[in-house]
Amino acid sequence: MSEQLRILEMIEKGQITATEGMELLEALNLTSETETITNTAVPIVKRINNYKFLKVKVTSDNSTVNVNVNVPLRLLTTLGEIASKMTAVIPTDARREMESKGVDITSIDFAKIIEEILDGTLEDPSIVDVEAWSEEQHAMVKVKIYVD
Amino acid sequence: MWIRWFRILWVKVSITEGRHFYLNFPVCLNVFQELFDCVLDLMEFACIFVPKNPSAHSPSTVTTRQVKELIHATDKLFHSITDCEPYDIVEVSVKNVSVSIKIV
Repeated sequence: MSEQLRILEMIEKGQITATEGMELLEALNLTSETETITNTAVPIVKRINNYKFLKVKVTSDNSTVNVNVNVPLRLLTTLGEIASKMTAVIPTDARREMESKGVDITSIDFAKIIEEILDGTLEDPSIVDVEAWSEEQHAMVKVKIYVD
Repeated sequence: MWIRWFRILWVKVSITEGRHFYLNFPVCLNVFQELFDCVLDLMEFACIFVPKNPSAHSPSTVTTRQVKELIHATDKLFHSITDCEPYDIVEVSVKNVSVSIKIV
């Protein structure tokens, strides 16, 4: 409201023309509309992002193989944070060797990578969905990795 | 009064090939968390006497502060495992062998 008042004052003082003032007011309205849209969109994203586990399922047609692994997402993010911190433990000579090959391990944000991977699955919670014939099991083996 | 809830890591192994073999092994995770808490306090105290910048002549590549960070990270890992509601970490059954690891 204070911005609108300031524009009106500027018109009154003759600092800007009425047309310029109108343009400014329109621009101000557009900004406030965008802000409203952004504010309403945030809860939707948060709702979708309410996954708790990374699940790995391996099953076969003849039920000879059945693997279920549930990894809490919090554990993954913690692992990412730890990986970033643990880069400091890498011996200096090994770090120098990596840097000479163009790998700067300290600049890698592992937590961010994990976060991005998980955020990338917002639309579709399925990360891997593979079906293949296993010679060893003589059956179709399904591998599914998804967030739940 | 003990008000802190605790979780148990329950390992179950069952082999039914020829002889039947069952193993149930509960591990109270709270013990580890308490242990880490204690060690972390000790490390915090030890760090008071350790210089912030490690000596260049030191033969060890890992400093006391890094060990403290490592213990703190492991403690955080334990917390992130146990913070959820009870769940199955691993459940594997292949032919006559089944292994399950649960947090209860």
